[in-house]
Amino acid sequence: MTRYIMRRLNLLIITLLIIVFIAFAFGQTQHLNGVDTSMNLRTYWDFIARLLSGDWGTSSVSGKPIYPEMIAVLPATLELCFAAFLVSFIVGIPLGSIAGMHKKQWMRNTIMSITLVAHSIPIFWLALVLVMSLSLQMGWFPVSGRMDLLLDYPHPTGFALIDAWFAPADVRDAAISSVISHMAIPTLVLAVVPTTEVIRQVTISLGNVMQQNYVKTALTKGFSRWKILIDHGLRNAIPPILPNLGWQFGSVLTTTMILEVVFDWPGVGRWLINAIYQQDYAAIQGGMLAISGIVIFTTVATDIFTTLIYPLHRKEIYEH
Amino acid sequence: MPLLDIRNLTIEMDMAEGRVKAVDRVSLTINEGKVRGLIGESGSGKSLIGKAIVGISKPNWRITADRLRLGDIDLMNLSERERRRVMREDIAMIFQDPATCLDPSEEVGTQLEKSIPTDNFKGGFWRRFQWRKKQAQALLHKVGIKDHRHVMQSYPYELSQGVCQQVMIAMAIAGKPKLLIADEPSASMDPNTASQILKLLKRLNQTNNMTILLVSNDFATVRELAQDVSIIYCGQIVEVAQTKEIISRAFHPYTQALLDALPEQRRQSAAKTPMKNLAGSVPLLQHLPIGCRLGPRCPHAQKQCVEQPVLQKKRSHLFACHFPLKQE
Amino acid sequence: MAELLRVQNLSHHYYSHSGWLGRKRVEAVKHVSFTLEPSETIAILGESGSGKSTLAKILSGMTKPSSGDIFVNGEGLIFGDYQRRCRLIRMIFQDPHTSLNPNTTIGRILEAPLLLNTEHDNLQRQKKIDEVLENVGLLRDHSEFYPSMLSSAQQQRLSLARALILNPKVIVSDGGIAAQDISLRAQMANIMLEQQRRFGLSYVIVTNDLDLVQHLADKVMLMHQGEAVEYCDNHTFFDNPAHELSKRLLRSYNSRNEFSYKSRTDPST
Ligand SMILES: Nc1ncnc2c1ncn2[C@@H]1O[C@H](COP(=O)(O)OP(=O)(O)OP(=O)(O)O)[C@@H](O)[C@H]1O
Ligand SMILES: Nc1ncnc2c1ncn2[C@@H]1O[C@H](COP(=O)(O)OP(=O)(O)OP(=O)(O)O)[C@@H](O)[C@H]1O
Ligand code: SF4
Ligand SMILES: [Mg+2]
Ligand SMILES: [Mg+2]
Repeated sequence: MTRYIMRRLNLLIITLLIIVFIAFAFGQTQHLNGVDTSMNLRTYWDFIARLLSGDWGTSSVSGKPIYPEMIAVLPATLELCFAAFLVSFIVGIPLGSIAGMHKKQWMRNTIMSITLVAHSIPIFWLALVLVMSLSLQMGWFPVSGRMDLLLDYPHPTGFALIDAWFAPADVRDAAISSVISHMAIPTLVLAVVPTTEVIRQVTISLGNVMQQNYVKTALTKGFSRWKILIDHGLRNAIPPILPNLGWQFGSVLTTTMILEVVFDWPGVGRWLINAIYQQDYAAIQGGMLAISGIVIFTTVATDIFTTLIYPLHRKEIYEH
Repeated sequence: MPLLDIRNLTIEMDMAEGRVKAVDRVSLTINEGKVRGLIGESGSGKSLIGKAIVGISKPNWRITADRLRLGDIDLMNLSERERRRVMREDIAMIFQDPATCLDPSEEVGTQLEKSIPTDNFKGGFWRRFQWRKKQAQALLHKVGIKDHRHVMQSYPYELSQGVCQQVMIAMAIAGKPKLLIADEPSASMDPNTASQILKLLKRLNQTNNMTILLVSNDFATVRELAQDVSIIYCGQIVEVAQTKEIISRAFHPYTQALLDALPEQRRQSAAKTPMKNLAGSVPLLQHLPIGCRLGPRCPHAQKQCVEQPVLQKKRSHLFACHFPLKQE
Repeated sequence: MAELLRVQNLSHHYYSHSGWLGRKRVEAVKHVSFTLEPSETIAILGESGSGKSTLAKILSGMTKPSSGDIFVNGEGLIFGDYQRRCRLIRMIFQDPHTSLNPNTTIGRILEAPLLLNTEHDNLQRQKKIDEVLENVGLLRDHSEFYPSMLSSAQQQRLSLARALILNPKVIVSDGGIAAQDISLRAQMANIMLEQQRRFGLSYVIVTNDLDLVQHLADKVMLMHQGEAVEYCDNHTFFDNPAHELSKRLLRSYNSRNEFSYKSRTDPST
């Protein structure tokens, strides 16, 4: 058990060190990390120590420290990402299950072709079309922004939905509905790619599982296909694909950052783009570090999570 | 009235080389409360017959039959719901490859408990839970597993093959089916456990009136249990008779070859000398010989054998051979 | 005679789960020792879960033993040294359908170990493949076939051919022959005996088929809960076994034979 956790943490730490090194090298060439621009173990170590103490450099534009600024914009991006993933699971697993159950061939084909179409739509274009039609023409959703700024309530976590949930009773309902209506289109647009991926992976994985002998055995015991899907199908089909889906997190995060410009979403992406326009290298360095760190962390975390819930992977834990 | 009545069951498969007939017009009946053995070499289609009865097939299989009935239920035309009821209550099958028939990510005990029907148990949730657990333990003891705690808490990969097979048997008999299809239930078990399993099947047959189709590839297991046997070669039934009769006088050369392979026959040859057996091997389904399918391997084959022999009756024996063995 | 294989004090334990994250030690093989001479066959018997497959997996190098040593011709075998091991000990897998890649021709299947482990050139490899195919009773032409085009008997022969191709000294078979039907079993046994006579091969066969044991084996080892409770030569085992379990095993084996003997000579039929 400890051996397993250690191994995974090792992986996490080594990758983080490499990422930090890249940021460090970038910083040294741009004279971001102080006067000593030599690249050696001591300056590298100093750099790490500074990062750990929360000193991520100072913005050359505003002259303010980077770290608090970044912490202020990160939740907006992450919230969008998580929401998109949640939607992709809620939509993808049932659709993938239907397609993977095989019996209805036309059903499978329909789902798969819709998936293919969705997968090949340019996300940027979809975002613009939805904003133009649903927001500008129909006026159903707000065009941009993250929440109604006129509502006044505290934002302790920075995650809009959580803050709205705990808002004072008089503004709570209005806050929640405003947050959701602002999030709706960005979330839907972002969810497209991971949803197609979830559908595809669930279909393949479940298709394999449903051909296994234990499923046939269950059929001869007189269980219905749906009971078997719940009992044996998903239990064996979902866990093995979780690490693959964890990998997707990185690309969704990137897409989010790009789309933030379209939706004028106050997240890391918009913040970084501004930094690039203004040649604020310290901010670029900090943003890159934070994003890569989050991606690495989610990947390792999904891996550990899978191991914990999936007996066939849990073997690994017992053996050491 | 026969409990299981199969007439002219044919199973065809679409393969890259074209359509092949893996099971060719097989008829099989078992009267209620009897045990029938089904004996044949590897690849002769025994498991396929079992699968056709329990309704497992693949998209590229075509299963046809003039009759496939369980009592007065027609198994060929069942609604999905009806089929599920029949499978749950009346038929159970012990599959050949036990390790893959258990869900790899669920503890064996849970899987076993799920296959114990609780419809007839009256009592609260907790009582029922306890009762199921007890039943599961009792079933494991019946099939010869002593350390039930350990086995029930294990995942299939943590168990040896033989134990998986014992668990499968326990699951199959849990629902007290009317018809049990046992596909080589004691294969690769040690003689003690094997005879314990056979005794268990015998007891179920005698006390619960369970009808059993016992599939095997040699006479050794079947003869202890089955009143009647059917011999199958290459998807065709070649001889049908009572076990006693067939052992004392076989008409078909293939049956004789199977009998010659019985241990007491083999005993007579000294250790490490070549064993007696039919030359050649089962032909591929794609390249079946014309006429009698045993032809190329048959020591008694003659010219006439290029014509397919049909099943004919001699006393209570059915056999398909132009030149039945002369009895001494 | 010089001993070929010496297995000394081999032990193996697994960890199986207990509760969600806890684990529990399962002693699968406990201090097993045996020796095998060239041209000898040892049969390993035992009830389910007694550790036979685990022992076979250790011998063939698929599992690392927790402790103990394996010597071939007096030299110790190290786990992970496949180059050396696969020239000495090879395993026949139980199920040829799943262990043979359906998308490769038989020639390729047989060529792969040669490519990996020998310096043979094209011609030598071809010669070796032809030779080994012939040895197991297949034809030279079969090397263009795909495994699915063979009957199960021929697939069995192919898996023996694959085991033989590197000229190993010992072949380990777990259920490989025993799980087959009688005519296949007889054919395989005959081929194995023939190979043994010609090349001095030794076999370790895991089986519970006592007929086969009696016919093929020189030595018998009976395992019970991981321990070798009986280890003796064939005749001693069948005529005068020491352990209670062996006696019980032989009793159920003999009663089965008597049963059939009675029914065959039953005067009423
Ligand atoms: N899923 C499948 N796809 C293609 N061919 C198959 C399939 N299942 C079985 N067959 C073929 O059908 C034939 C009969 O197979 P079956 O499994 O019924 O044999 P069996 O008599 O049970 O043999 P064994 O004693 O080895 O279990 C074999 O030739 C086999 O190759
Ligand atoms: N991966 C594993 N994890 C935990 N325990 C295991 C594992 N594999 C085997 N075991 C245990 O080790 C013991 C020996 O198993 P093994 O497969 O060697 O038995 P076997 O003698 O081959 O039995 P069989 O005749 O049933 O094949 C059994 O108690 C089994 O439960
Ligand atoms: S019909 Fe001819 S070939 Fe066929 S079993 Fe009889 S004698 Fe042999
Ligand atoms: Mg079969
Ligand atoms: Mg085993």
